[in-house]
Amino acid sequence: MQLSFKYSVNVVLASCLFTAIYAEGVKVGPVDFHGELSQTFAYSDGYNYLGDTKHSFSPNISEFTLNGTYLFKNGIRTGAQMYAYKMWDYQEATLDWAYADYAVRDEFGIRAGRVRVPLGFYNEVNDLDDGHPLILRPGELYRKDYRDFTSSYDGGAFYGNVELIEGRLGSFDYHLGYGLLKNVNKNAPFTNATQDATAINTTEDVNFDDVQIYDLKWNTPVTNLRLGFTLVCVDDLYAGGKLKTASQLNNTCGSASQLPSSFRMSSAQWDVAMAGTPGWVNLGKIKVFVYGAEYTLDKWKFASEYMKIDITDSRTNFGLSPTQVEESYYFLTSYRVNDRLELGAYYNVFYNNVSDRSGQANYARYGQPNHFAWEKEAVLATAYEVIDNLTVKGEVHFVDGTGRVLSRNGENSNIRNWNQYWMYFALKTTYGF
Amino acid sequence: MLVSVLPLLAEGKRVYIITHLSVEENSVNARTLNKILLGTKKKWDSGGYVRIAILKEVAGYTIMEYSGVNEHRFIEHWKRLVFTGKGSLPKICESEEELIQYVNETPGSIGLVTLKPSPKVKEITIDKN
Repeated sequence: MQLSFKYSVNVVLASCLFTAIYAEGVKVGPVDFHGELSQTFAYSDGYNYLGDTKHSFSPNISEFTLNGTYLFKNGIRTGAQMYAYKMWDYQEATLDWAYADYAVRDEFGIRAGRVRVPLGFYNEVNDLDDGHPLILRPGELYRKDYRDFTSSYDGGAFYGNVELIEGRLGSFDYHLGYGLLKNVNKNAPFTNATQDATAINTTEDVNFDDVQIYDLKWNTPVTNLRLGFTLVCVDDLYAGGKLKTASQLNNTCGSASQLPSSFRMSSAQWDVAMAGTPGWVNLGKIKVFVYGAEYTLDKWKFASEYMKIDITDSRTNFGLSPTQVEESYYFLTSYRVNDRLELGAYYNVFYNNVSDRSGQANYARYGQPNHFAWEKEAVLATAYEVIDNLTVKGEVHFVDGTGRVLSRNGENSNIRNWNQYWMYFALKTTYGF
Repeated sequence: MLVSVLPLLAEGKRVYIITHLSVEENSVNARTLNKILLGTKKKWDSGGYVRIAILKEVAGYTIMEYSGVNEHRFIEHWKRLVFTGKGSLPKICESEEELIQYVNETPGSIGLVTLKPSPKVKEITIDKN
């Protein structure tokens, strides 16, 4: 097992210094600043997953978050958060959120600017390490390499908290948002993830049209029981580039319907006639549904969410009209043992097309492994606060299936020999202030 | 979230709810206090923005009693608000004297103490309704 620490040691030393200075956050004039600095290491016995992790203990993800907010005397709250990260060989500093907010009353407020997408219970705080023992949250939509797509939008929202029958039926929090998803850098992890999703063409340009968000959380009369529903509608996800060569297609674990043979061409014919010509996919309507429940009982927390991504009205410039319904769900529990130690476990299931959960129709029929179709994982996690504000986390994933393993750019080659069962281990240190 | 029982005694001591003198409310009900502590209720009915002060050392029993969640979940909840821009962390005070001084100096503020309130702050009660 190879241990490559050079980069990470620098990050950890820098973060120690930083945290020593700002252990309790920092107040500059009237503005409160808070943030986190973290480094993740990961190892897999099977695949390069969110980094060069195959048979290598790799410092695969570095993150730095810094936010500041200010409340004016007239009640307008304004603030911003920067999120900088390095994942795989890609690094970027992004404006995570930056908005002005005015609560007219508890029941009604307005928010405008760059706003986090309230997708499910945890998307808004997916990068926040404090308060839970997990390194990678379960659920398809919390994927680290999807955050360019799911993190925030430019626009506005109405929000508030409304009591039901004077609180006897609890209350609900709502967020009704509209705006534009920010375009994704062509080298960003999400773009690379779509290399497999679109399969037939490279993705050198990814952009979106508008997004509509409907999020409701019901704080039920049962103490600390919340139920949630989110619907996010995204129009026109465009992923364009060039059609891949036959060799590239044979090493991309997309649907076999996108192989040259499905177009009644030999590999040689494909390479002459099709490869290298412009190719694009436009996913006309993407609807994301999330249903969830969360219950906290003193030191215990239980949560479960069901997520469905429904893709319709799609078109391409090469004759296919890809439609599919992705599905994922998980069951999670965590237990706070004492002031320092928290344990967690979850079981997570993902299918990339509910019409072919077994992988027979889209993969096995064409000689590809059927386990491209799903990913099921059991995860054990722990977090230990070594000293105030310094937390070390560890988690191990026992995985069945390769539905979220990427073949993009040959990161994981020989796709027909992929193993169905594999393990992933991650370690993370975080300094919060 | 509702707090079903609101004992006025915490570890054998009476807990007083104090506010800045500018707060017009003389009482709050349990549900409102719960919403204030969790940041859901941002404004006083009489006007002005709510600012919260809590004691660092005794946060456990007071927070559990009045917000319905233990201190870890309470801080976790507030961190979520901070990292989404929806709120600022409550003022965390090292001593009751510091908390009383903060409430005395900060319009709209509210805090929980075991020291009998001085005239510098206002004591409000929990309305059983």
